[in-house]
Amino acid sequence: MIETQNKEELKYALATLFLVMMAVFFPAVTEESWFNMIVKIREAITTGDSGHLILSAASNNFLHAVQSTLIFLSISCVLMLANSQLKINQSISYSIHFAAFIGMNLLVGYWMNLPWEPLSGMLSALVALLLIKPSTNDNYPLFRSAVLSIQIFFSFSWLNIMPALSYYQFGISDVATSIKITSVYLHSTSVMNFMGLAFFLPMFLSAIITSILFLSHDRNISIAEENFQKEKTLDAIRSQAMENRFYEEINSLTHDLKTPLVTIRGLNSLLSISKDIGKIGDYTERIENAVGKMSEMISSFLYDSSRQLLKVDEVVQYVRAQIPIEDERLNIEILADNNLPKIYVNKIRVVRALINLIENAIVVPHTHDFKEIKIEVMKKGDDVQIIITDNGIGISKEKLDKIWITGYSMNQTSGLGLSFAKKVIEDNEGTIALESESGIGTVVTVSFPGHAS
Amino acid sequence: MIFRIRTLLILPVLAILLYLFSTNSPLIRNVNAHVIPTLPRPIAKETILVTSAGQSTDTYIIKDISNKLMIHNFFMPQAENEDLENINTIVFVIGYSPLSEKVNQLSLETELIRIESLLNYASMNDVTVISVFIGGKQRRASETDEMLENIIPNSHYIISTFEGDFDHFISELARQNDIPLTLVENITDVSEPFASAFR
Repeated sequence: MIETQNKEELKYALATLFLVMMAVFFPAVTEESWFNMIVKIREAITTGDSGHLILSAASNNFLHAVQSTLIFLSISCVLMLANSQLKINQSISYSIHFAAFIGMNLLVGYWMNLPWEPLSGMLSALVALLLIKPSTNDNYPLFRSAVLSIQIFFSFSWLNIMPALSYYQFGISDVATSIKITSVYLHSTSVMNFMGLAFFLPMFLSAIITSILFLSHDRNISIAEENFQKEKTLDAIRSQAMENRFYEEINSLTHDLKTPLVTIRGLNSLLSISKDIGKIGDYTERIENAVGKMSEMISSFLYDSSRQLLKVDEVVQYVRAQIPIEDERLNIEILADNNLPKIYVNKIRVVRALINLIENAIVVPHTHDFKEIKIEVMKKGDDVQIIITDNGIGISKEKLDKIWITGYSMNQTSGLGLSFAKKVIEDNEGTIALESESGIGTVVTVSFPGHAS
Repeated sequence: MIFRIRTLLILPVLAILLYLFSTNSPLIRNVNAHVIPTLPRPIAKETILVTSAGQSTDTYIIKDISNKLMIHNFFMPQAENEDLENINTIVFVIGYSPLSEKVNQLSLETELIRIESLLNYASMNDVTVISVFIGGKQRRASETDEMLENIIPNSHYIISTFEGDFDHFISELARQNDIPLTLVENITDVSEPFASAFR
């Protein structure tokens, strides 16, 4: 983190150095262009062609804009560097920027013997400070400042060649004054006024629009980042909730381990008192079976991938044994075909998933005298289908799309049961589909691929 | 709002800047000097030499006016004493331009020395001196004023724009030295008084 910050500061330091050098030596580098302006004004007078004046004005404004931009950006860089160390207040930073801009223009102008346009310079610097907002999302703040400041400074430079604005002390530098005096002599004041306005207005509007676009982009990025963070947090919460659900399921099953344990204890008691040598072999074999069953159950609890080839009857029996039937107004009917193919699943988890689906069918409110739940197990092609049908109030079409979302519930429950069941079934290469009609009931169809042997 | 209301406070600052920079001293036309619309009779003879005092491009305008008026002239922005041979009138177009001086590789000091030398020569050889200042307020830097102070007292006739005499600096110099002065509304009005000096 600190290393990245140091790299960033070094980058700004180099950019600052480069920009300051450019700002200071720019007038010297472009000296020839400045001289050409004087030559063009002389040509305009000699030939009476105001086109030369316009060209001279364009060159003058472009050079002024580039120089002002370089100065403005170099101060921006210095302030960015200073801000990273001192955390300067924004108002103070703006004031320093403005004062430094004036100072540096005067200094460069004095040193290179080039006059400065104070009014347009100060106005454009103020506007640039107003339009160029610091951004926290921008990786290239200098690029943004450069794009905006060149537009602002170039637009305001055009005010300097407008004779109509001479009263307000726009265009007091040597070249601008010469251009305006010559335009009066050539009867071209209206042309120069028009040219000034024709360049100023579109460029200035373009700068405002660019600034608004940059700010909107910032806002959109912030919103997108905020949403991404929220989604990430929500995903983490959902994932944690699912994790907890698995543990909850496993906890609820641990009592199943008691059955083989009770068997082992009983057989062990029998072994201790048995005097019949012939029965000892039978007892130890049954103990071995119980241990094997326990081992299989523990594997199922612990590992998702632990799957066995099971007879569907076995699964149905296991489900039947765990259905909570405490309501007298509840009728559960189980219909299973004969000669069903085997399924290759994690028994404990798949049973828990089916129990969850059946529990959902049990708790859903109904308007009939009896809650009817039908569980049909049948062969469909190569697959084994388990269809759970209830006569509850059903689910409206609008809510059907949301039922698989983790945490979504219609019955004030945790909303994890259905998504847990879906995950377990899909983890075991199965599919689940839900059809419902409001007021009639719901049909949940679970399919697993059948295995012939 | 994308721009906070607070940032709009910058508008009064802009207004103050505009106010401070506006020309708040309107032109006063009532000058206490020998101001005439044109000369009643010619005071100068051709051939003339148009030279610059400060190397501004304004000199080229006076050269153009001379040509249009068909006044026989030589145009030498950096004329020296030897160029004044056979010259009856020297026209100084006053206006300091730092960039033009740089283009011509001159300094303010050398320019002032050259002007002084030309004035001395003119004085000794009975050459008429006409001073023209068409630069307006924005050309009135301290360097220009220094040149005006040097040239006007040695002139026989002065032509300036009203705007150039916005602070009565030129008219006051003319009054002190009793030199006829013509103030014109703008540069295009220079032709008539300028011609009156010769015809």
